[in-house]
Formats: sequence, C-alpha cells, structure tokens
Amino acid sequence: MLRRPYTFYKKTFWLLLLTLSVSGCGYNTLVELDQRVNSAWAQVENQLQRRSDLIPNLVNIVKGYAGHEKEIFQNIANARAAMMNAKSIPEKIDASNQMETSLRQLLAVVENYPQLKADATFARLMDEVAGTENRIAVERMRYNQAVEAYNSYARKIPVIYTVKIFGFDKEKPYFKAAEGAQTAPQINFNR
Amino acid sequence: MVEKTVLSFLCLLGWVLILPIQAQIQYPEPQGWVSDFANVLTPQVREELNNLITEVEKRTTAEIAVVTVESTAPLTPKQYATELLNRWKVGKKGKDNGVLILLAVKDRRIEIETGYGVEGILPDGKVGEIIRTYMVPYFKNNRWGEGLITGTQQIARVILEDTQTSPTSSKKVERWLPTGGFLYLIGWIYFIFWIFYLVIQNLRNRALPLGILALLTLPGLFYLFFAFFPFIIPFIPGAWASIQNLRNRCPRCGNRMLVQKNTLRPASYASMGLREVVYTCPVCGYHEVKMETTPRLTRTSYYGSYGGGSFGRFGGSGRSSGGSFGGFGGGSSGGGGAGSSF
Repeated sequence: MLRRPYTFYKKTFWLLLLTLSVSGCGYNTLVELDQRVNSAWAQVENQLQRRSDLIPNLVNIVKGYAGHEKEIFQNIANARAAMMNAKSIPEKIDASNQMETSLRQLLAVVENYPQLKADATFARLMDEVAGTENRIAVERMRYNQAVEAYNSYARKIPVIYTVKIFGFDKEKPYFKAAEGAQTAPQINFNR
Repeated sequence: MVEKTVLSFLCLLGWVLILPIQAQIQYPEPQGWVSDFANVLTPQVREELNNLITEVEKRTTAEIAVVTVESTAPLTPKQYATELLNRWKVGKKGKDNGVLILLAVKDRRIEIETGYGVEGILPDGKVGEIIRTYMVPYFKNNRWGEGLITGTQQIARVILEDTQTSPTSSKKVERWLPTGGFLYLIGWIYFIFWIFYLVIQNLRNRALPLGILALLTLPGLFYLFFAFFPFIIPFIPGAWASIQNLRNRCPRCGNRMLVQKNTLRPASYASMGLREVVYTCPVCGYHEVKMETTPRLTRTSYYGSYGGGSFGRFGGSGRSSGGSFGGFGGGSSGGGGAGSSF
C-alpha cells in the first residue's frame, strides 16, 4: 500500500475553497440587479419626458386665461430648461422635483379661473397631467424598489469586494419625491 | 466584523420597519370580472357587467375588472387601483391589455386604471371624459350600477373599435438558444466531471497522458473566447489541477512522485523560512531532495466567504373560478388612467 501524500488533501481543500468563494462572490446577481435598476430608471425617464412634452400645451392653454401670472410661467420655463440640461441621474431627480413644484404652483393658480376649469380641452389636458404624475409616482416607486434591492445587496460582505474589484456602483441614488408630492395634482372640477 | 454587525442590525431594522406596513393592507382576491366588495350592485347589474366583459375578452382578449370597495384607506384610490391591477394581473401577459374600474363608495371616487397595453387607445384624457360624461352624473345620485354599466360600455366600445382596425396577434417567438444560465450549467457539469476524473487519477497515483490533459483543458480555453467571466471560472481550477498533475513527474519512469515537505526553519515575520522537499517515485524508487525558501509571513486578515443570496424570479400565478371568468391573464400597469371625485 502506498501512503498518500499529505499535500494532495491540502490542495483539494484549497481547490474547493476557491470554487466556493468564486460562486459566492455574487457577480451574476449584481449584474442582474444593476440591470434592473437601469431599466427601472429608463421607465422613469420615459414618464419624465412625457411630462416635459405635455407641459407646453398646458402652459399655452393656461396663458389664454391667466396670461398675467408671469412668475409662474417663468418658473416652469426654468424647470423645463433644467430638465433638459440635466445629465446625471441625481440632476434629473432634482430637475424633476423642481418641475413638480412649479407645476403645483400653476395648478393652485388655476383654481382661481372658473372659465378655464370649464374648458373641455383643459379638462382633458388635466387628466393627462394627473395621469402622468401618477405614472411618475408608480415608476418612481418601482425604481426605488430596484435601487433598494441593489444597494442592500451590494453592501453585503462578500459582494462588497466584487463591487470594488469590478467597478460596480457602490450605491444607486434613490428618487426622493418633492415635498407634498405624495398625490397627483388635482383640480376640483365640481366647484 | 463591525461591518457584519452593522449589516445584520440594519437587516433586522428593515424587517421591523417593513413588516407592519405589509401586514396593514389586505388585498382581497378577485371574485370574478366583477368584485363587489362594497355590496352595492344587484345581481342583474353584475350579470350584465359579466356578460359585457366576457364578450370583450372573447373578441379582443382585453380584460376589464370592475371593483367596488367601501374605502381604500390608508392608500389613495389611485394607488389602490394600481396595486390591485398589478396584483391581480388584469390583462394578458405580454399584452398588458387590462383595465380596472375601481369605485370607492365612501371615498366618493371613481378610478379607471389602464394597463400599459391599452394606454394608447385609452389615453387618460379619454378615460377622464368617459368618467365625467357617463359615470359621475349617476354616481352623484348614488346610482352605482347604472354608472358602472354605462362607463364599462364606453370603455368596451373603445377597445372593440380599436381591435377591428389593428392587428392583434403579436405572439412572442420563443427561442431555445443556449442562454447565459445554460452555458453556466454546461461549464459546471464539465468542470465537476473533469475534477472528478483528475481526483480519481490522482488517487490511483497515475499521471495522465499529456494528450488527454490538453484535450480536456482546451474546451475551457475555448469558452474563454465567447463566454463571459463567470463561465470561464469553472475551468481555471480545472486547468490548475491538470498543471499540478503534470508537475512532479519521475524523470526515470514518468510516474507521479510523492512529495514530502519538511520544514527546517519556520518562516517568521522577520525572516524567510527554509524547508526541504523530498520527491519519491512510488514505482521505481527514484529519490530527490530539494531545498526551498518559504516567504516571510505577512499580516493579513481573512474573511470567510459564503454563498450570495438568491433572488426569486417574478412570476404570475394561475387562478380559477366558476363561470366565464377564468382568472386574469398576467397584465400590468404603470399608473395610467384617470379618476374623478363626485
């Protein structure tokens, strides 16, 4: 009988350890979660774009009835410009919140113009605006869920090293809504 | 270690925060096309709505869910409608052609939620107009059934008109090509067999012919060219093991030699160590001794590794119930639609 060399067992042990550590590094899951965040953000951007497209129509129709509310129109124009210039995700989030705030100001003013509220085109447009705000809220929530999954996974112990080695984002930014943006803007057509 | 403690604490905190929120809101299961949780509809109204929606579903595959509830608190009616449509998966999978009509009686609010697939033919403006023209006048007088029927008829009309003009079948072509997961599996199966084979050969103390080693290691290199990082990983230990197998051959007979390492002077943090390596051929008795230095010790920390968490895939669940309603099909929505208070 041959005496088995001790080194053989040691090698096998290291081999198994290497295999386990590689499969446990979470690379694949990171890629998947990263992709999920990206696609969720793409959906958010779709809706932000939709809002940007809607707003000129809304501004035009409100101008017809309330042309002298210059400050509000200026705010909206600024927000829209900020939206167009925003490049990174945090910038876009800021611009979106700025837009939301100025949109709210506009809709608060609209309450003072009964003829405007009686306009059928305006009513339809308001449905679209409210619907878009709802859509943004939904996509924002889904984006935040994807971000949460990513962030919490990327900070776990073996994964955090994979993140560093392969240059993944350490953390994805959450989309925090502007103050008082929990519900879509509403115009009360009954008054 | 500190990181781990903080992490586990955060996880715990997360559960504490999340659990009560999830527990608070109970979403009911659908009763059919029409789910009258508020008990405001007569059997005749339910029957009529059922027939109408079944007809629409048969002709266009679009699904309409009519739901009445007392109140949607703590959520807004809109949030509740979105959540319900996505939970019940109203609409066909892939087409997302579902519409959910939610009447919150005590909140005095009507919401129509449109799935992704019908947003085009039912833009929010149109939905809002249908609500204001055909539903709200009835609801103001608490005539729930009539309002729901006329509203649903209008929605159905729009969907039916669209289907007559546009092509409906956009079947997704199911491909069966090796995907990432499949390649991964092949790689692992190959790797496990290869290691297994090498181990058996090692146990028999037999060196493998160079040809076989090359032949079996080459596929690993081939993978390297078209598969991504995770897929080549299985072959790295395989190649390493085969190199180990090639090394330490007896120069006289070619069999694998036994290796014994004896430490003469252990390495310390200050100086290198020294050891002798004794090679012995078990077949022909060839004997050789080599001296080796071992590197200085370095202070490192070692983190144990463990398997990463796995994330479940999302998937629809089948439901069945009596009558013409065969369960919703797997649709989803992104908050489209309109609503109105009355």
